[in-house]
Amino acid sequence: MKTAALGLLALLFASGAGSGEASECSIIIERGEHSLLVRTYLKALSPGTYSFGFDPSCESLELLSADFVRPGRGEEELPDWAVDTLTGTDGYPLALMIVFPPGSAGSMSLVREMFDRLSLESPSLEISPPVADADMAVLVRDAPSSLRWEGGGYVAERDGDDLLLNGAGPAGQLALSWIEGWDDLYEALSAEADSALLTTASLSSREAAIEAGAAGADPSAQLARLRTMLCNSFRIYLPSAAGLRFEVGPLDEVYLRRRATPLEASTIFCSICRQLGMQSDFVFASGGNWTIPVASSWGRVLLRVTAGGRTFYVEPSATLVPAFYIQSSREVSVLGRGDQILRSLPESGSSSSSCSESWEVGTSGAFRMEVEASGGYDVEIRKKLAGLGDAGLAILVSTWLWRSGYTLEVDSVWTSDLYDLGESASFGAVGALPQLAGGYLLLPSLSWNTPSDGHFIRTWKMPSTTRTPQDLTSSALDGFALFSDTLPRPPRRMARMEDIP
Amino acid sequence: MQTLVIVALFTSPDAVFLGHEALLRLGADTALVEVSDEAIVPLSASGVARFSVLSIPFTRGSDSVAIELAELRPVRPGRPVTVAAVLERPRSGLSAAGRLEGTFREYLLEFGGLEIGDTILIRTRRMVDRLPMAPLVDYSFFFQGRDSLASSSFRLEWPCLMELHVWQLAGPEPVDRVAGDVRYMTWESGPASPVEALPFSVPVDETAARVVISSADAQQVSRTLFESLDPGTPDSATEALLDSLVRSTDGSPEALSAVVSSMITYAGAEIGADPGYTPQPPSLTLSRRSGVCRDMAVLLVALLRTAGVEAWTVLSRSSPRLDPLVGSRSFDHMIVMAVCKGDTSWLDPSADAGGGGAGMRGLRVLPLTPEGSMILELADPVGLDTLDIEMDATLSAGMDTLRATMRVSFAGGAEDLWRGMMRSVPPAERPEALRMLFGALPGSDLDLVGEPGNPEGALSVAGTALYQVPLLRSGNGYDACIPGLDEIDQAGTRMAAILLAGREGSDRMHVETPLLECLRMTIEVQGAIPGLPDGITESHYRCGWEGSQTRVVLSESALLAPVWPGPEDAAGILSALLLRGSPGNRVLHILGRTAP
Repeated sequence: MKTAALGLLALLFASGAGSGEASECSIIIERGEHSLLVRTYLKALSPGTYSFGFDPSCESLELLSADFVRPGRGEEELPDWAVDTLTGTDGYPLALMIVFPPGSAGSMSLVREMFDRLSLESPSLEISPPVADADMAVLVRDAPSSLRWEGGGYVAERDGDDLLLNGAGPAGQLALSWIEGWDDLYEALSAEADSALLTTASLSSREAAIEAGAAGADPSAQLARLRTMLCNSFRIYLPSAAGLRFEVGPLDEVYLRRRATPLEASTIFCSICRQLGMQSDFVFASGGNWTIPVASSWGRVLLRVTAGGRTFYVEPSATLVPAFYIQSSREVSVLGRGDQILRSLPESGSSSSSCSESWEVGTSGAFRMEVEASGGYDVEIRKKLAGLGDAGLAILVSTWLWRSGYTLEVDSVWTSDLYDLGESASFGAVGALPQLAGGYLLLPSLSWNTPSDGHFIRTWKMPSTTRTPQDLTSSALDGFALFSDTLPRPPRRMARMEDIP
Repeated sequence: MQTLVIVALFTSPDAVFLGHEALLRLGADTALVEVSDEAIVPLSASGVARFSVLSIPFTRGSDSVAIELAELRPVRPGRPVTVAAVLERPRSGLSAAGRLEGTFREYLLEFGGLEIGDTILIRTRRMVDRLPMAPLVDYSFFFQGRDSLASSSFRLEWPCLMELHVWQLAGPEPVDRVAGDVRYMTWESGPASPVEALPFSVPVDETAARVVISSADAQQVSRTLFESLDPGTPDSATEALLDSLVRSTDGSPEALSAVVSSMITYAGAEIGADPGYTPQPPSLTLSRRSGVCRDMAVLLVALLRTAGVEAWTVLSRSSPRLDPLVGSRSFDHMIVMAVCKGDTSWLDPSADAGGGGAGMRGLRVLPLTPEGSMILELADPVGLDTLDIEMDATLSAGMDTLRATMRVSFAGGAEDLWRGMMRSVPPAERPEALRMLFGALPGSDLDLVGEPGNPEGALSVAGTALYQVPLLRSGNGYDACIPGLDEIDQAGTRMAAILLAGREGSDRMHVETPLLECLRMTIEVQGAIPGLPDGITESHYRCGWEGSQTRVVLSESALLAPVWPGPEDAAGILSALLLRGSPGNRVLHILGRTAP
């Protein structure tokens, strides 16, 4: 273990930033020619296992020192067995693991060196306290006056060229950005994609364009077909290391490995659109609330496609999402070329949500259920059911019913092609309700994650002798009674088939 | 030892293995080579997802793996044959499991661009330099798995002078011949249908056709591993430490197990000649206050012996359970056998919870003794895993809400389950977790009594719970559906949701969390109840009512056990799950007050 920089790190708290009792974390950030350096010093930790994920393809992480103190003993260096580099969690390929034995408190210092393009050219950082209740002290070396920061509870002070940000525990998240404006952020995020698009279109792009444009499909059908082709051909992944999210390799290589980040997927989609004569631009989307340009929060990449006099928004990396549906479209902020930040998509930016759930229950207790959906409801069906075999489908629908409050025997389930993003999702099930003792039953229904937009209708077709609560709308149909509601999450309701003893 | 083939076979369906072959060659010098050949065609999107990245585990310093072929042959013309990208890294899951044992490695084979119908070809050669703990060879080859198999072949080359044991479940007869000093055995099998793997089912690799070979019988393995793993006699300093710990308890096996469980943090470390296998000496485990199952088991054996209790370390494997033949690499867990005053108890000091040890029911284990032991199957009794729910309830004036004072106590498997769940939930979030686990409405106020991490202390749940009561106007009153086990014990209802789905039969059931659910609910109503529903009594389910016009008692119980039910018990469990889900047995007709 190295001891370099320890003195400097310790000095931060020696100058009065720490309270002495709470956990303390000091961080020094230095922007160098070849890397962005983040040194972290943690003190007064609780015993337990600490894990720090990292991606060796764009950063290194090194433990400089780790010491612990047990009651009645002096400070001891953590033994080798308590430190290892293992396969990471939360998407990181590797993780540095440190175990402080029970009953001890400790301290550690580590250095993370980031050498991805964004960290070098347009750095921005989101910093979370590594321990929930820690006092935080963040020192930015040679901080330019244009450096922007944001974080609730932090207080800034200048020390020559350095900027010191103190946050008393429990401190919240802190964001730092050397990026001056939204245009600069857009350019930084899209730079690699733009340059990948400048190279000659690959054979794969042209093949895909031909396939999507086959049989004279209109632009809408072409885009839907493209969405389906890409989602079924590429495994989408979001690198945990923020620096890798906006790197784009040569498109031929991306085609070959069939694994793409959201930006790579959008770049490929864009290149195929160009082959089809459609104009398309990147639109970045963020669910975060930073008011300064922080690259890592803009992980979603949409495309604004203009064709046939119409504008379409698509999210090429949204697997198992209908072709033109943008999830959480009203909650995200978007950033397009030449735009300032926009707090939601334009009205035409996303298709709407609807769901029709219909049940037919006979006097034997046998049931048949069918669902047709679009938008957010469609997404829920696809994410839950796509790719399951017969038994898996039956179990999934049965557990969905359980979570909705019903125990049923689900015998079999069918679905539409849930991998075809151009068609609405639908599915159905047949089975039986538990024994109808006295003719009583709980009216079965599925409970849905309600999208912010949309329409919902549920119907039950039952024997005409069925009695139900009065809040349901009822009508007669072909000798049966038809009851309905419009609640995606209905209360449990009891009904009785009068002709069952 | 189960190689890549098994990792690939038993994850989920959706592929056909055109060829599935293995060769096991043991040299006269005991050098062991395992060659595996696979030709796999994914048939579905989930098959593509499964086989796009494959893991080949190995242990640094113990064995080495050469990937001789890892190739993707596309089904569509125009695409080139590609070679898999190979990445070596620490085995996944170690950090999440608290295992700091970086010698456990894996090769990741990434087949970029894999499509349905493509063929992936893999040939690996594993050279086993030394087997952990002792040179006890074993190997399992499966003729069946979760995917379709077009053909399979297992070839064995074994020195004639070396002892060979073979155990087989179904599958083809071997061709057996001797040439020179080598015995050659070959099993060739034709197409095999996939075996469906469902939750609450006996693991596929316990039921699939397979052959197991080993260089020693179980008794020899027990005797040999005893020499490697038994803690032996402690030195005087350690003995004093152990003695002081024993004196801090009543010296019973359960108390000593609880001490080890509570004072040792689960964290692995590399030590000894076989990192990942060699246990820490008891003194080191006490000093570090960290260890994994083997370290805790060895410490507990030392403590028990110090207390004058006869005790042995015991090796096992949770899933699949042990076959009759085993070797150095057959085991993934260590527990303890204690014989006290003629009674044998099985202790698992590294178990997540300290309840009735339901995780050990029906487990097959190998005690390590100087004389050698056979593989034993632990008992699987029913009725010990009680979830006891007592409720004093009042039906609201509008009859649509039931407010109940609730007390829940646990024993056996139920205690294991709830302790495990509650340990993973921060104390501040436990009331909400309990509300959901007991199916109650928001506004309920349930909390844990006792500390889930302290197996010596009692654990229970107490508080107030609210339930929605579905109502239906009926004549001069209302029918009210009183919540029962189906609404209140969500663990049991989850089991119902899984077991009642798409199942044609009830064989091969495995109940991971056995339960005897007992509900006794006293209900006060503001109105009159003219009559009570009929009761039901079946082998695994009972529901009955008693009481007067305004105060009635619902008693309901369901036996969702044993862990490994035979056909009769399995049918009883399914029937119980159906009956507890039937609302008609819990509908009260109430006269008088006006509902909303």
